[in-house]
Formats: sequence, C-alpha cells, structure tokens
Amino acid sequence: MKRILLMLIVLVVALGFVSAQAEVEYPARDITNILVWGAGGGTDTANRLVMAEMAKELGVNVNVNNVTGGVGGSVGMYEAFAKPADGYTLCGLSESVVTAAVQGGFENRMNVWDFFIIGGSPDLVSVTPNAPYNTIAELVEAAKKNPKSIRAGSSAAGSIHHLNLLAFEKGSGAQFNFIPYDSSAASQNAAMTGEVTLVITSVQEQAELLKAGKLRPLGMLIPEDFDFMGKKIPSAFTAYPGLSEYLPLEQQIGFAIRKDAPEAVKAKLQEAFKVAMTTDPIKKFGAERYFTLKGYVGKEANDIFDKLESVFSWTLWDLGAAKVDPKTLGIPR
Amino acid sequence: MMDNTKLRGADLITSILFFLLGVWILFESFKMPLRDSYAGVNSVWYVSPALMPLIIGTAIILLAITIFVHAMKHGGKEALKVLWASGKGKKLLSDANIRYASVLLPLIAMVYMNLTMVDFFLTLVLYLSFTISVFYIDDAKFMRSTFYFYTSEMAILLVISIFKLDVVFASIFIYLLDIIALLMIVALTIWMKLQLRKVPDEKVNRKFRHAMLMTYIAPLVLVPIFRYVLRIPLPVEGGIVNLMSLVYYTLR
Amino acid sequence: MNIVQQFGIFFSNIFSIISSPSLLLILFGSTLMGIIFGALPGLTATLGVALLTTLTYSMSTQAALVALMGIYVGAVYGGSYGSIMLNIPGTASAAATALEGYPMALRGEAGKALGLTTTASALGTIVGMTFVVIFTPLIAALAMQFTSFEFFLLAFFGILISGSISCPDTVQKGWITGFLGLFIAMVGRDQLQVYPRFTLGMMQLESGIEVVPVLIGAFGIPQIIQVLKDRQVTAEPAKIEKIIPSFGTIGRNVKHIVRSALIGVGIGAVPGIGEDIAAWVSYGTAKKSSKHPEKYGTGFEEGIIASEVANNSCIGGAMIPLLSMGIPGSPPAAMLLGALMLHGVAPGPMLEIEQPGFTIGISAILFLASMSMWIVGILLAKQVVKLLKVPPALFMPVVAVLCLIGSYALGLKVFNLYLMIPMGILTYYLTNMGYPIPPLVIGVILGSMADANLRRGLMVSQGSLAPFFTRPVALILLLIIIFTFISNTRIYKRLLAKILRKA
Repeated sequence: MKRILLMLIVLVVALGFVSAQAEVEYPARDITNILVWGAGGGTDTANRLVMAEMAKELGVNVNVNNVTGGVGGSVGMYEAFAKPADGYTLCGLSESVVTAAVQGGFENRMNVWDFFIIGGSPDLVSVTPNAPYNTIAELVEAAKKNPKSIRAGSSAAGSIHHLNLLAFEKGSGAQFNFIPYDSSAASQNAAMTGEVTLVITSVQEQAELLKAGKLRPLGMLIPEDFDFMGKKIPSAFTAYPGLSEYLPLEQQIGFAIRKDAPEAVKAKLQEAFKVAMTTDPIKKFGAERYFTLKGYVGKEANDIFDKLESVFSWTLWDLGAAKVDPKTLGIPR
Repeated sequence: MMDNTKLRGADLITSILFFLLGVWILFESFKMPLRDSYAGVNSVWYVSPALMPLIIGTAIILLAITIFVHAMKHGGKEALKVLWASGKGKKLLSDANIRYASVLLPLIAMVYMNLTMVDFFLTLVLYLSFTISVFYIDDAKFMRSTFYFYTSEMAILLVISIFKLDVVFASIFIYLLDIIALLMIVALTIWMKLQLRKVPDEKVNRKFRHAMLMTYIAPLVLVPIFRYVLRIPLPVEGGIVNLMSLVYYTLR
Repeated sequence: MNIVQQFGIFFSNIFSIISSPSLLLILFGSTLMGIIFGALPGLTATLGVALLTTLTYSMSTQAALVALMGIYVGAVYGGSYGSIMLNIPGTASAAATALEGYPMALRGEAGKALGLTTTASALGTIVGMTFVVIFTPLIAALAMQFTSFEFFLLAFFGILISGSISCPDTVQKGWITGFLGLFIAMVGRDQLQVYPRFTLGMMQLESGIEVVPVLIGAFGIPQIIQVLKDRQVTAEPAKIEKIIPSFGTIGRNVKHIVRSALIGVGIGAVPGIGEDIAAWVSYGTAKKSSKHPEKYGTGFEEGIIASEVANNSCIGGAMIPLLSMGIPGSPPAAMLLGALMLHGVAPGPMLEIEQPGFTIGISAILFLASMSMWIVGILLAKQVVKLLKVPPALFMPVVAVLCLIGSYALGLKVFNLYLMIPMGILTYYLTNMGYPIPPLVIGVILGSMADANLRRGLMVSQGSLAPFFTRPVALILLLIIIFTFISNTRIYKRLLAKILRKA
C-alpha cells in the first residue's frame, strides 16, 4: 500500500519534470507522417521512400501511418490538422485531397497547409492491343461518329484520372462511356479482361503493361511528347490543340505541414527534403517509375495546389458531385 | 441462447425492430438518385446507388415478416408474457444488473470519454484496476460498493468533459487532468483495499495483489510496445506516455 | 527455363538463405512477429507488412523479402490463436476457424486444435507455393477472366454460403443477419457515383464502415461480456497431449486439404480479394460436400483444416497476379507491391525477363517461411495452451484492452472504437436470441464488392443480363450457385433420399 503511494508520488513529481523540460532543438523526437491514402499505393510508396531519406538527414525516424477514409482523404487530413503545429506531424497526400473541402469533409481551404511536392507521373490515354485505334485521332473520330459507344475506364469519379478524362472529352469533342473503378489498378485490370477499351491512368501505373505490350499508348495528356524506353509517345495536344485550354492536370504527390508551424521548423524540413530529393535512391525511383521529380516547396508548391483546388472544386461543382459551393469557401474559378 | 419459452417472445420484438429497419432502409433509398445522372456517370435504374439498398431493405422486411409469423405460430404471445413477467420482477439495481453494468460502464467510459481526454496509460489503468479486481475477487457486495465508487469518479470526469473543463485545466497546468486521473486511481485503490476487509474469502488479499499486478504490468508492457516498437501514435499522449518517451529518447 | 533449372534455382535460393545466420534470424523473427500480429485482435497481415516495409528499407532486397513474406505467412496463421483460445478471431481470415476451433478448446483439446491449424497452415502455404511455381501463367490467364460479372457472382456465392453456416435457430435468422451485414457494407459513399448512402451526415461514415471494428465488435465484445457477466467458462486447460497431429489425421483429410488449397489459390489469384473470403468459401464448401455436415460447429477437424489450409494457400495465390501482372491479389499483397517497388523490383509481365528466377526465389522464400512458421507454431502452441490456466477474470479485461488498441492501431481512428462498442452490444443480444453472427461479418466483407460489381457489370452490358450466361467463368459460377441453392431445398433432399433408397 505505502509502496504504491510512494510510487504515485514519484510519478507526479516526474510529471512536473517532464512538463518543465524545455523544448530542445527540432527535431528532438520521431516525426509522424499521417498519410491519407492506403498502404502500398503510389502516394504511400513515394512518401515512405522520401521519409526514409529525410530521416537520415534529420537524425530521427519518420513514421508513416496510413489514416484513410472520408472524402478526398479528409479523415487523415483532419487528423493531421488537429495535431499541434510543432513540426512533429506531417500529412502525406496527393492532388486529390483538394476536393475534400467541396465534398464537405474538411472545413478549411488548402491554404492552411504548406506543401512539399515530390512529383508525379503524367497521365496518358491507352487502349487495349486488340482495339482498332492506332492514333489518338482515330480514337477520337470513332468516338465522335458514335458517341458513348467506347467504354473508358479510370479511377473513381472525381479522381485525377477521371478529371483528365473529362478534360480530354471537352478538349477533343469526343464522348466516351465512363466506367468508374475503385482504383487505377482495377481500371487497368478491367482493360486486361476486355471490360473497357480505353484507360486513362498515369505512366507510372501503366509502365509494366506498356512494356509488355498489353496496352497501346496513344497520347500523353501533357503538352510535351514523352520518351518511354526510347519510344516516343506523342502528346495528344499535337492532334487536338484545344486540349491546352483544359489540360494539363498533373498528379502531385507529396506531403504538407500546417502553415502556422514555426518558420525555423519549416526551413529545417525544407532543407532535409531538398537533400533527400537529390539522393540516389530517389533519383533511381523517379527514373524507374516514370516519375517527374519536382522537389517544390514553399510558395511554388502552394501555388500549384491553389490552382488544383480551383480546377477540381469547380469541375466537381459543375458535375453536381460537390456538397459545398466553392464560392462559399472563397475558391476562385 | 435463451430457452425456447422466452425465445419466441423475443423473436416478436426483434422481428418488429428488423421490420422497422427495413422500412427505414427503403425510405432512405428512395431519396437517392434513381434515374438522373450523378457525378458524371450516366444513370439508368441499374446504375443507381439505390439498387442494392432497395434489394436489402425488401429482403429484410420479408424475412422479418416470416420470423414474426413463425414466432406467432409457435406460441409467441405466451412467450412474450413469460418474458414480460420475468423482466418485471427484477429490481433495477439487482446483483445481476450491477454485474452487467460493471462490464459495460467502464468499457463505455473508457472508449467514449477517457480515451480522448486522459493520458492513454492512465486510461488503461483506470479501466483495468476496476474491472480485473471486481471480477477476479467476485464478491457481490464488494462489486456493488466499488461500482458505486467508480461510477461517481466517472461522473466527475463526465462533468469535466461536458463543460470542457479539460481545456481550462490544460491552460493552468498541461498535465492537470492526468494528475486528477492519477488521484482517482489512488482513491479507487484505497477504497478497494478498505472494502476487502468485508469480503469473507480468506485468499482475498492475495487475489487483490494479483489483480493489481496485472493492472500495472499489462499497460507497462503494451504501451511501450505499441508506442515505440510498432510506432503507433496513441490517442492522448499525456503525462505518463511523455514520461516514457523521455526515458526512451534519453536511452536511445 | 526447364524444370531441372528451376529446381536448381529453387534449391540454391533455399541454401543461400539457410546458410546465412542473419537471414535465418530475420526469417524466424519476422514469422514470430507475424504470428503475434495475427493473434492480437485487430492487427492484420496488411498492417504487419506495412510496418516492416519501413523497417526493412535499408536491408538488401533478399533480406527484406524474407522478412516481408515471413510476417505475411505468420500473420495469416496467427489469427487462429485468438479463434481457438478465446473465440475472438485475431484476423477476419481466422473467423471461420473459430467455429470449430473454439468448441475443440472447450473440450480441452486446445493443443490438438492449435497443432492442427499449424500443420494445415504450413501445408496450405506449401501447396500455394507449388502453384506459384507451376501454374502461374495458367492461373493468371484464368484470373484475367474475372470481369465485374464474375466478381459479383463470386461475392454472391460467398453470401449464399453464409446462409449454410450452422444456425442455432430457424434459417431465416441466418439470412437476416447476412442482409444486416450487407446493409452495414452499404454505409458510406458508393464506389461508382460517390453518392453518400446512410451516412447520417457524419463525415467519418463517408468512407464506409471498416471490417475490423465490425469483426472485433461482433466477436470480441460479446465474448468479453459473456465471460465476465455470465461467468461463462473459457477453454478448458488442456490435458497433456500431443500437439503435432499424427500422419493418420493428415492422411484421412488429404481430400479436404487438396480441395481447400485449390479454393485458396483460386481466390487468392483473383485480384483484390483475399484470405478472409478464401477461408469462408472453403469452410462453406467443405460443409456442403461433407459426409457429416451435422458435425460442423461442434469442433470438427475437417472444418479447421478447410479454413486454415485455404487462408494460407491464398498467399501463394495472391502472388500469382502480383508477379505476373503487377496486380495484387489480396490487401497484404498490395502492400507487398509497394515494398517491392521501394527495392527497385517492378512486378509485372516483364519481371521474368528483367529479373529471371525472381518468381522461383519468392516461392523458395515462401517455402522457408512456411517451415519456420510450422516450427515456431508448434513450439509456441505448447506454451500458449498453458495460458489457459490463468483465471479468465484476470486476463479478459486485458483482452478487452488489446481489442481496443488493436482496432485503433489499424487506422488510428477513435471513431472505429465508437462503432465497435454498439456493434458488440448488438451482437451480444442477437447471439442470445439465436441469430448467428458469421453471416453478418461475411455480409460486411462482401457487400460493397457485390454492389459495385453488379452495377458496373450492368453498366458495361447496358442493362443486359446476357453476360451471366455467355461468359464461361460466369456461367460456371452461376451453375455452382444454382446447385448450392437447389441442394438446400427440401425437394432436392427428398429426391436424393429416394434415389439413394432405390439404389
């Protein structure tokens, strides 16, 4: 009995001691990266790799925890935003989180974050090898002749690939029969089984299938041609210059920290991030996975997300899939 | 499972509840977009998000009706009377009800209140010290008095949580609420120790010692494993967990 | 590459691992960690693989693969510990094991049950591995036949099977809990049009209700209530008995082992669905085709073998589309894909051309992982059985705490715990009134798959039901479903009895 009491008193004293501990130089303990998408996906893989390299630079571990769910990763973002702005919590995310606010999952705009952009892989239009279309023009003309007859697969409505599909339709005037899947992998799988003819996903996701000739690349949805293993994939912009009005909409994988975190902390993280981006494993990863490595931080990164927020929010609102009017959130068109 | 005399009576009640659930599912389903396109997907009846819920709602209603009819045919009414009579005679604070409440109340208090308010380690100790002790010693009187004591402690925490006093406390001293929880654990331990004298079992002191040992060993093993080996951020990292972190980062 | 060469690579891989003490240590360590992960309620194989992905980042590719496969195999097997000892399955894939394993433990045969699951799991893994080596191209081609229609039929078959799982009262009660499970799966944004269904305006419900809080709520909480409140006895402390099952037991069940392994590999190979569904389908099929269906649910060894062989052989199955197409066959395999990419390995059609022998290497590791799992498992089982001597009142509250942190650790969501408690209290009452709980869990697991694929299929065919009959795999599945359905009816049973009498 007395022993228990004594122990408890010691504990109370120790508590005082802990709280009296002045904050030592950042980072003093492990950093947590709350990642809003599932384990094993593109955002997850890239983040885990960059975190591992940053850990070497920072001298502490960076633990990646997947907190999925909600709309546009809102549950994880909410969770990360609720943590103190001390730099010990990061939020691993990708471009699609900008839809969280208009879908009613996050009450703030994206300007509460400071972003770090690792990079992304550009989207392209591909068809199954037995499809009769050899160029983007043949595909679009066939779709124009017979609107909604060609089945197009991509990830869920409102995702980056779906938005690319919509922009492609608008810019080229073709209309497809959109079949949504729960992930890019599932939509490509459906192309393998012949359920859809056309897929729009990123080069990274299609790479292995393109190499094996299981998908035929028709056109990149970026203004430049793309060099895929020495073979040129033409830009769809060449055949349809009208696309430049709606595209490009590029994938942006990265992470974020609360904007109100101390500047010194942000500077330290940015420095570590920049060093990490130049390391060999990351460069190798970028090259192997057809990732355009960006390494943007600060204003440069925030501006990109501002633009994405506007495009995504208004597109969803126009489709009738948004809950909250982007106007009320103050998102410019 | 209940015995058959009461079961059919209970079936009547559950089937009505299931029926209502089915009706609610159908009601909600009809509010969903049935034909209009939504989110860029061209919609026809077979693409509607309401398709599956409509099937499920209908099936639940049909099955609820068959269960209801089956129960009526097999003496449901009489069984319901038996069930009613057996329930009527019981007092609210009977030994059986206190026992049931002793399982649920600490669990509910832990999950819905303490977990997001008090330090994780203390949350676990608060739960375990009560639950292990009362069920391991297994004496009706001991359980009842300890339960009342524990409930009043939880009531204090509830008041704190309802009036958001935890925020006020944190502004005075960051770990003030943790210290209050710690004091509650001490008070509970002393209370149980005093109550032990009234328990007729002679092995009771040894049992209590075992219970206390388990109460502290389990969290002392689990919390560091989850926090530092599996690297899982805990819901509330208050005084004790941060103390552990301090030790961990000094040693590392 | 001919067979002899393949064997050569296989054995050189095995030799290179067992001759390195550090790799052996990693192998045994990660399998043990996997078993503990699986045994703790809420912690799953996916989480284990995710965790090790970060930890093995700096290791060589081979060492990392040994660690990852070890934890995967261990975690899928470890789930059976909770099922047998406490009637609380550690993972969803071990839920079917609880139906037979726990009654055995109640009879004082916990040791025997654990020995049986250990051997069955090891055999399952090895059979799965064999399939990876020999049939990869064939199975991959078959798995590529799975379009939305087949996915829907498979989900439907799983749901149908839930009705045949032993029901303590009338059959309708099994069906209604199955539909309740399906309803729970409907909560959240639908996969096709992201329309929020039954979310009651709650943000956390938008992404739907996860399987783990339902599983732990439905099995864990009622068990805790029952043991503490109703003083229900937990498993008998085992008599001293042999843990390793005799050759006779294995010999008697060769048929079940082969069938369950085939089901496991097949379901593993179908993209996106994993060990949990494999175990249920195998258990259901075993019961349907058994000579003694009445013995199921009373601690029958056939049932344990069916579910444990299937969930472990599923691992090998899940590797097939992963390695040949770059498409993960199960949720932990999805994490494995990410881990492989971190090590610069890109699974897909080009893998065998770019890195010949990689598939054989994986199967060698899988083989060693199953061996180490068997050794660790048998050693562990003896010790674990002794834990049953601890009075339940001392450890049940600790189990409650474990259920809590386990489910929390999975997504770091306190909301999941908020769901778990009402789920537990609801199922406690449902169980008391003769409603079986397994159909509910199956419904939750399969619900969204059935929903999204039915609608997507109809979308592709523009409302036509013809693909059900014109697609070969769909037709086969449909026929199996119709047969299962008919064999449940009274007319069929009477007819069968008549025919048997005449013969």
